Amino acid sequence: MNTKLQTEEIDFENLSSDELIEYISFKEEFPEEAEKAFTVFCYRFQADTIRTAEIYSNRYNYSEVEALDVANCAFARVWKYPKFTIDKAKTKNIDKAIKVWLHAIIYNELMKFGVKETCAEADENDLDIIENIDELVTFTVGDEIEKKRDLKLRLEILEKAMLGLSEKQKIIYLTYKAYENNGKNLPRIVSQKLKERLNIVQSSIRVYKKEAIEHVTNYLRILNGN
Amino acid sequence: MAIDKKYIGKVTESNIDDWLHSTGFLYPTNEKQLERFEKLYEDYDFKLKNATIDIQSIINGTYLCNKSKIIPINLDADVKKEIEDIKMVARKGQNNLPQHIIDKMRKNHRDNDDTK
Repeated sequence: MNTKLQTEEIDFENLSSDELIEYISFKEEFPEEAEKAFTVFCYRFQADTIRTAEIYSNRYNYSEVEALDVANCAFARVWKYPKFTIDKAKTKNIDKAIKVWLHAIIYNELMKFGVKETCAEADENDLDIIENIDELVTFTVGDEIEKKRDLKLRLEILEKAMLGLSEKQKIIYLTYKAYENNGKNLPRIVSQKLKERLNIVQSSIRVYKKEAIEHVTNYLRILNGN
Repeated sequence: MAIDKKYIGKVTESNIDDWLHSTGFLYPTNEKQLERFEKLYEDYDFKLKNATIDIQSIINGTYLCNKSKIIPINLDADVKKEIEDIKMVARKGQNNLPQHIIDKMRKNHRDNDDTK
């Protein structure tokens, strides 16, 4: 049923981002308003999303062209599954919570990139697309963000740890980490993609993963004098 | 191996996941990791600065990823030089080809034959 809202009264530009998502979720009943809300949502987050997709793509040896596809697919997923509920919000910054939500979506799209030339379909083993803002808020007042120099130092350590891994080991290590840190198993479709992309069999994946974990652990032990 | 003291204790077995999620290897799962990520990459040289999302195609349900596209390739100087050498040879038909060019041409021919 398409019902007309009095859209002239809705100032989408000034709606909060969670309200925009709520309007997007009304797309069956109020398609016009949903489209307007989605357009504003895209303009609000596209620069950040494209940048993020480029950084992740870079880590997994995908090109910028593929990064842009991943960013588009992330928004396509928001359009298709606009599920972000905010109950008892403890943060004043809704946009930050939504950015965390978008990061998970981008990452998920990257992992499933290019399946049958369409954006990925949602399934139960997808990375945790957190739907409740309470789960995101672990950043409390008084927690200071490290200085940039300190952040770069840590990035440098991780890059050096990864440098000792072959490309296959690195991709397998990170892919498994992304899912296991979420308490998930690697979805069959992602496992299949790994095998095709790296041209290896499942038993080799297990070996590469084990070697990668050992390498990183040893690197950190030596670095920290353990 | 001499270890620079500034690295010691920064990333350990117990906090490596937190740092992988903060530095762009994995995606952030909370606001603190997000803030670290944003600070770390605030002056990153993005290649997609002027790119935009294809909003209308997404709404129409016609957006397809992985379509045939022209993919920009960033070649390093050595590869560019090698390509120029091969192009020059092709244009001039020189006889005194460098051995590595001859080897490369032979390899390409072999690979092409194998795929037929």
